[in-house]
Amino acid sequence: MSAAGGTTPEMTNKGIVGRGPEGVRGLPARIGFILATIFTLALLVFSVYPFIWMVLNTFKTNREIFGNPLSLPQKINLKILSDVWKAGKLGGALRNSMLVTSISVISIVAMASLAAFALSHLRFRGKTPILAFIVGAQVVSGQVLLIPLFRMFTQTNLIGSILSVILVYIGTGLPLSVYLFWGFFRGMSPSIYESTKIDGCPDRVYYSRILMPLSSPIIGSVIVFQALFCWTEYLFALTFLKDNATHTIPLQLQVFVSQYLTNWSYLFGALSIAVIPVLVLYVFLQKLFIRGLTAGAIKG
Amino acid sequence: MSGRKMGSSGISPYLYLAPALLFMIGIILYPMISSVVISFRKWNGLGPMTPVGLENYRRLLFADPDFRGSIVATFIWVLMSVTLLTITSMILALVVEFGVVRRRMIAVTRTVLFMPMTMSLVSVGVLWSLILNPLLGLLTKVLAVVGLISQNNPPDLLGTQSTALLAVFFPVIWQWSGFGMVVFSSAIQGIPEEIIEAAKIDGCGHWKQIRYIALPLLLPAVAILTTVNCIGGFKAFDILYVMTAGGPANASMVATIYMFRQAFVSTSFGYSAAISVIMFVVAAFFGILCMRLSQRTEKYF
Amino acid sequence: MRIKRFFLILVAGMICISFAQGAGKQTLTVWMISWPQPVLDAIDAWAKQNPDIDLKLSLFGSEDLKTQTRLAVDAQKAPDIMMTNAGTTFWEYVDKGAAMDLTPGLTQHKWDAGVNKSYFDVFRRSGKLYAVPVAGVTTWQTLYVNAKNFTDNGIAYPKTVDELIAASNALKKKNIQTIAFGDKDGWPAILLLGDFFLQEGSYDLVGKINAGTLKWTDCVPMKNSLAAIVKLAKNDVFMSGYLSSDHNLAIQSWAAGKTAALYNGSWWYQVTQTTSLGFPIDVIPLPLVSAGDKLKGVQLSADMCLFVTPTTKSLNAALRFLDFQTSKAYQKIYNEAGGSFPIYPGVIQDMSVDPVFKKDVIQNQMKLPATGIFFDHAFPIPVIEVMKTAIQSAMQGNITVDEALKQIQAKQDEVLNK
Repeated sequence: MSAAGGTTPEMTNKGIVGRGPEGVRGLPARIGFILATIFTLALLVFSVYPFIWMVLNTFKTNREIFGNPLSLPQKINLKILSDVWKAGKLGGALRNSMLVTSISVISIVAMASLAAFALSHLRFRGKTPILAFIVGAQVVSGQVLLIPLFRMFTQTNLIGSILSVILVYIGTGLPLSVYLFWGFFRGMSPSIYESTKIDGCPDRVYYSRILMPLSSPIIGSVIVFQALFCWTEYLFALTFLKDNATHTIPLQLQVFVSQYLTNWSYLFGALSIAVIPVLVLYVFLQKLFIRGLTAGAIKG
Repeated sequence: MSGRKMGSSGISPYLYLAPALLFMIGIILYPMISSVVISFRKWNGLGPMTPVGLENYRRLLFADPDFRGSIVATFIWVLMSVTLLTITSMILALVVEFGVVRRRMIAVTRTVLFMPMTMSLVSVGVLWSLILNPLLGLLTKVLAVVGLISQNNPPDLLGTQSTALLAVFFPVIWQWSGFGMVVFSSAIQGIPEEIIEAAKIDGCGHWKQIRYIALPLLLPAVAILTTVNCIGGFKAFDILYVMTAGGPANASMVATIYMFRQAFVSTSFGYSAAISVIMFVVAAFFGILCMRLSQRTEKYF
Repeated sequence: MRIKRFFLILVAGMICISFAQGAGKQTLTVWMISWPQPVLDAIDAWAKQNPDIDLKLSLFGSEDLKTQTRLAVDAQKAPDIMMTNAGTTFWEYVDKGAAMDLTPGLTQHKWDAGVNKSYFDVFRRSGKLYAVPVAGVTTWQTLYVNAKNFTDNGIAYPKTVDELIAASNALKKKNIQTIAFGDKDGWPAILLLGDFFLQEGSYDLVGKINAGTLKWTDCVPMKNSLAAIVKLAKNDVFMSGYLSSDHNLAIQSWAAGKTAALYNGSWWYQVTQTTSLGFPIDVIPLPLVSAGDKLKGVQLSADMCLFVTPTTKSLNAALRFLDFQTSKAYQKIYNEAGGSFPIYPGVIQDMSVDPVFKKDVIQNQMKLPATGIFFDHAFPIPVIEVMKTAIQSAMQGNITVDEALKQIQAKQDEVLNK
């Protein structure tokens, strides 16, 4: 954590080049500074240009897209966005994705933090095998689970309902989340918990009034990770959700790619629209997110 | 730590654990066991399952050149994930923390560099397939404009066996460096100010700061990221499937794709389950290896 | 009193009628590929015209449909009507008892009246019919060319593979690529192999290979055909990126004027509905492997078919749906939207087809014997998988034609010996 007084981490910059009398001065520093800035700009362009290209392609015709990839669209017709919205039934898909993501994420945060609390603060038998199981569960890749889960859900008649994907996302998201919470909790000073215990404070009060508020950074991390995953997951959504009405966003993007014809400008439009909610969430949670990873990852 | 007053916490720890454990057992453990059972059978998805003992495993390990090739491809991919991805993440973090002077720009830079993470892997695959397409894509156009290649003979990175795997990894770098960047960024911010100040007073230059202070103190973060990238590398599927479907001529077919093809194209579900079991063991082994190494480096500091 | 009784009877009657309506409403679940909008609209209209059928239509991408259908049949949750390709996959469904015997329905509804026998024969076994073809046919033994590229540069349309190579070299000097070809998924190359094969040999050889009485390595027409493909690849006749593009992108490259000739069936027609082409199109027969070859057949297949689950509770509705799918009205809309040719009589006269489809090249091919099945469904699935990679490897020059055929034969032996 930052040792210097009240400065919050993201305000500090460790760079000292060009800062004046304390900094190293002279020509080498200036060149270094310029090179660093150019490099940074290049990275920024490299990161963001595919997005820009994607958005521009939305407004180009197929011929323009393939004829000259570097060109600007002839005319910007905003109506295309509403066309894409309707054709891809994006409203419904957005709703489904939000429903799936929010329910999954909230459930994961609740269950994972409770489990991690027990694993880090309480004493009981069987901790090691449980921890080993949690770590091992992270290694399992999605496709392995696909067929067995499909048969399981078919037999319980869950196929086709968004409950099936919610259950899968929760189940597969828990191992990593428990692990992250556990790492963070372990790094906390034990004295707080001890003193509350001495005062006779029951565990659940400690959990809800003290532990969770203190853990906002790691909660932010888990939320962003899991939300990203739920929002962009494709394989399970494809196999379990058949009805167009229950489709999530990644599935609806496939609507624009038929076997014989891809409506490229619609596809890019849908891709552009799909990015926005996640971006908003990330910007919103950025502060929590960064602090959380420091504490959780390094000490974990 | 006083343990006497707390003692054994009775039944309630298990209550806290129960929801999460139940989910993980139901969604992960049970299907995994089911997969293991299927791996000892022969099944085409439509009929009865016939037990075949260790036959699937025997074929995979000793009589299947495609599987051996996919293992090689998987290892190359994991190696790239563990090395290249970590390095690029580190570079991004160093750039953000040391290269940007204006404070306001930091948050913006970080957001922009993180943006690629917001796209689904399938979207990234579709987008980059088009960018890398020799005839129709952005890359050819840019290179031609700059004059590096002639437009008549563009490089087909995705379609050439020797470069396919690397070409698919390129968007992975584009997207996932942002994740590692955030990890390293936070770690760098965790470096106490006094050390930096002391270095400045000693007249330590910009690059010396990075080399002797930031990098060593970042080793724990490197260890963590390496483990995550290692495990993630074994799991990689979506991006490869969308961009090359394992081709050309199986050049980019990693084990997960081979497993998928065996199940859904050749409808040999038993064989596919055997692949998944073997890969799980391999991935778990390397994952634990990485974790042990990371614990060692932690102890070092 | 009488009025009361009258009303009672009236109400009772109304209840009975509404009950009958409700009882008569059959639910029909259908799984199909996602079609263009005009086709979907036609299906919607039919559903409205048949209010006693509750039509539940689910649409999928073609690869997804294959997976979903297979899984549903295994879980015994199959819908009433399913769609699949002709060939080995279809016969697996029949073998597992997942397809109803439609012969009684055929006798009653006469779907195959006036239709070329081979299109229905691929769905028959021992005289029983297990599915009804509903797709149109798309021609493959052709190249759709950007006429400008040839006429402007004084290049004659090539008639043989060697002439094609020469034309390609001439086009390269003008910075134009030759064949738009997207073989990322592996099957376009197999279809090309099939087309060359039908120039060199007759289709019954395929049956011999599958029966084990003829080896891939001994089959001269197969060898020549594969050698022709490899020769074309070696001379850079295929567009750059042919192994990393799917045929969708291939069509786009042709539509954007980057390639001179399109080997891709007539699906490109759909592209013209959202993009105007900007150049005149012509169609030429696929260049011959050896001069003097005569086409012995064409890979014409009304590939997609509908089959019915034997345990369906809505048989009447299912048969009516099949009637609708084979009707002139639907076939006209379907084939116009997809740029294919209907197999059902009396439809093409009413269709508005692009003039290029009326040319002799295509019309003459329609008269040749149809295989009824595409080459990439004519062999067992594991063999097809090996074919895909072996052909790609050979095209890149990593293995020889003989080695490729050996690999394929090895898999064929494996399948035969099971």
